[in-house]
Amino acid sequence: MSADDGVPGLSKRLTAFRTRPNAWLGAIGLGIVVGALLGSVHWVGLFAGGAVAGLGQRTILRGVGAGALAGLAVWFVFLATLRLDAAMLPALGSMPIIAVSFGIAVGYGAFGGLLRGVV
Amino acid sequence: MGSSGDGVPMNGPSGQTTRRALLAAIAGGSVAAGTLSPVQGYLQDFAPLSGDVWESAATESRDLSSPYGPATVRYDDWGVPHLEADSEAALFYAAGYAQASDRLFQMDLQRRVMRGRLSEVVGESTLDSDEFHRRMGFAEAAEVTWQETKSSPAGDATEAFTEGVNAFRRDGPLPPECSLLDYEPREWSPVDTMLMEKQISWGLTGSFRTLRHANLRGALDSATYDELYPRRLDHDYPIIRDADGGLPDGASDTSTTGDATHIDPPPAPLLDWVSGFETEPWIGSNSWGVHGDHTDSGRAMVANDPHLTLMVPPVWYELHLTGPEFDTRGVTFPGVPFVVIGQNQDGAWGFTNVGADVIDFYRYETEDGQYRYRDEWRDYQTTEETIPVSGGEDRTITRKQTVHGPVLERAGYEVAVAWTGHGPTRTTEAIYDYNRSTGFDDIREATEKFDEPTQNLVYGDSEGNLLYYATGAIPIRRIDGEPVRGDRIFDGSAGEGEWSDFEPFASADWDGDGFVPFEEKPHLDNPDYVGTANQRVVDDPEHYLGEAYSDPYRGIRVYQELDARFQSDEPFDRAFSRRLHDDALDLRTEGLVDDLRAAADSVGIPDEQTRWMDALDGWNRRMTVDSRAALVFQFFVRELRRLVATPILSEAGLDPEDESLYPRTWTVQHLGPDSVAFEGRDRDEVLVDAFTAAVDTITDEGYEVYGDYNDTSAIRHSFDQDFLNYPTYPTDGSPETVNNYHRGAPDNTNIAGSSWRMVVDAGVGGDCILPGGNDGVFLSPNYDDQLKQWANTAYRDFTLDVDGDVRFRFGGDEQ
Repeated sequence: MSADDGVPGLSKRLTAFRTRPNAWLGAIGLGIVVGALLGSVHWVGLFAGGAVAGLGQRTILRGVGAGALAGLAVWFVFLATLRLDAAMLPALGSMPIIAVSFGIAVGYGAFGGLLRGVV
Repeated sequence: MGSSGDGVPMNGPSGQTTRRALLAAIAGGSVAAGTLSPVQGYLQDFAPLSGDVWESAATESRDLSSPYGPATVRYDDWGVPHLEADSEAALFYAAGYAQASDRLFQMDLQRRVMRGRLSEVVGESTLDSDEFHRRMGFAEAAEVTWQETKSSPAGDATEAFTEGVNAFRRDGPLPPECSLLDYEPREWSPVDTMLMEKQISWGLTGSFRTLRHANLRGALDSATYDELYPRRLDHDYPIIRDADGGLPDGASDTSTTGDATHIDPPPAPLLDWVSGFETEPWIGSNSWGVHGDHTDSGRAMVANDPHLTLMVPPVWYELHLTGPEFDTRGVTFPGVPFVVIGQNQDGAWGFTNVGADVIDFYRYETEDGQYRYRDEWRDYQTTEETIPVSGGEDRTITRKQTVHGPVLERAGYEVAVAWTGHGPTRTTEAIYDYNRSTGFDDIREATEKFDEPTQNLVYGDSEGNLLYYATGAIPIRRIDGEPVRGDRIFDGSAGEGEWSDFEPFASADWDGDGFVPFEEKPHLDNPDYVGTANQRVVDDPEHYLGEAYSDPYRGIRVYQELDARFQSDEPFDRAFSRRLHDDALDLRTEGLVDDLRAAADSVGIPDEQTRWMDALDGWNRRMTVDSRAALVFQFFVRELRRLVATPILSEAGLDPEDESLYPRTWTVQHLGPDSVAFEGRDRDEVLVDAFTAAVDTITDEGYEVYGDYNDTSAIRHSFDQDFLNYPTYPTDGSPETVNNYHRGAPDNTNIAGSSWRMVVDAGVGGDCILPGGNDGVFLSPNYDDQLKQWANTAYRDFTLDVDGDVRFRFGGDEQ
């Protein structure tokens, strides 16, 4: 049994999508939006954002990379929100927890990107 | 070998499925792992955007409702809230909300300490603390104090404040520390606010010196004890230097000794236990005031810098209350609605600790679980309590109380404690009245209700008036009707040393025979100037006050500078006070440095240490960050105290490492070669030994100048995490200089120093600084923004202008 048997429509549509020019970039952009929106509610949103970014890539490795990149971008969005509260500089000086937040964003983005190899 | 087009080799359909399953398992597993401890905790706390810890960074303006009507809270660039409202209740509701947003964890932590509920979130390591605080009954003392306060205007304000705290607790983000410990603070109550009064009062007057000295007296011969632990330090700089100043005619030393029953001294286990929870010897303060006749402004000038524990966030919280009959700015203890030290439109006030003896100890004849009190056998009043312990087994204790107060016990030795704070004190009402005061007369009247702690009040008003008053209820203990000192353990069964009309946790007649009458407490009405630095209050007090005064170095120095300025043609101004705050001249050097150099010439020192001895040549005796001499001198004094004390304590069977048993530095400094301390040894050799030990320590630590050692790195958050601790800056000052900094023990405990510096021209404003920042949330730019200036003894403006952007705007109808 292949993945196509389980979600044939989705897989075919994704394959078609990936052949479009700049599809990879759009997927990353969408992944960032999804990651930022859902990630504001729950950390699983970071995984979801990474998955969306990864699914639009042509290879698994690119999928993982795109997921990590989306996570990184969401982390910068996070820093920007802290800046609105004048908390960015204090936060950047807050080792090791700021590093933990970075790891969570990039790590869960990358784990989400792994789904490229599933669908 | 084929490819799916994704660049990853696979081996046919089966291999492709396996790979997909593996990747799905990894991806799914990462999500599943996030639901498991401890990963779950990290994600919940630190995940970007959704992590609980980051929520506390929010500083956007919020529109809120208040049951008491409109109010606004503006925050200025230093994170100081300026509160405005048309009604007192609305003002204090907003104050509660603002304080909670900035310091809720600190408030809860202090409450937990005093209620004995620390182990509930921390674990077994704090069980001793919880047991002590429960046995002392601080929560019950706060309860009876609230019953006294609640029907007053201060009580109304406290209730509104409480509601404000709880409103934030419900809808504000939790403090990061609560997220990290994974708990939510309980509802705040007015009793909790009273508990803050108990905490600071205990911290300033809760001394077990009587027990410790009973032990010393029992272990040492009287000649040794009397010389090393004199009742009075020999100096001429008490706070009130003119014997007639402020005291009633005929004032004299009536501090009789009386005949008292001999009581066995307490055992070491009891002293070891309680010594962890008492007022610390390095807690002190400076303040001075100048009458308006002698200032450039024509108004009185008040300067104050209380030397309390330095910690993260600071022990003080600054706020500005503006409302009907309120325009008051200054610092308070988190959890207290009113300004404790500060200024209003008509005056300014500050405090230092008196060091009065407001605590006594009683032993009893016991039999079959009862104690004898006079002619009858009585049951102890007992209460069983369970201390909850996080991650451990809960502990149940049985609290005991006698007619005199709560009972402390270790190693089968019981002692009851009577403390003024166990009564229904009215200090909250007094402070409330200070905030609304319009001048000298108001303050003097309000001070009559200032029952705890015993403080040196310095107040000045815009008309130039100046007031000094020793506040607080001071017990008069009696034996057979005669007043006696409170520096011994009393025979409780015989009714020795009791205070009239005082029933712990119930009632007290503060104006009755059991306490020093208000007009007979040391005070000065409109002196030219006054300086206080925890030294002896007056040479000949009418009543016994105590003997736990600080070494007089700072007191002498403050008066030297005040005297010199007064005798010059220049009027006093704020610049004078700022310079005096920065004064790092250390009077411990007097005699000691010259004696040390002479001893080194006589005894000799190792060649490699001569550069440190040479550093003392021509030294200006100031404890400044770039000084090598200051560095070696600081360690030399420490070693000298140790070398003087340890052989004597060892021989007496006492713990030679217990620094609380060491003689005072002033005493050690003035011990001559013929002192009992140098029997069988040569003073010069002891001096040199102290010096070489000091240099060894400095060398081992790699210090070169005083600032390498004397820095702010010792000021720590209770979690001691790097991201919560403050940055490190070198700072001037020593434990005995006016610019005060007690660097503390090597484990970064016992840190104390100027916890707030303030210089005010009454009714106009002045200068201030906190050792850290006003906001207790580590993500705030105001978390540590004052620390560097504080370390450099610099200041910021301290005015009654309302400043900043609105962060909280409360609407709603006034009740």
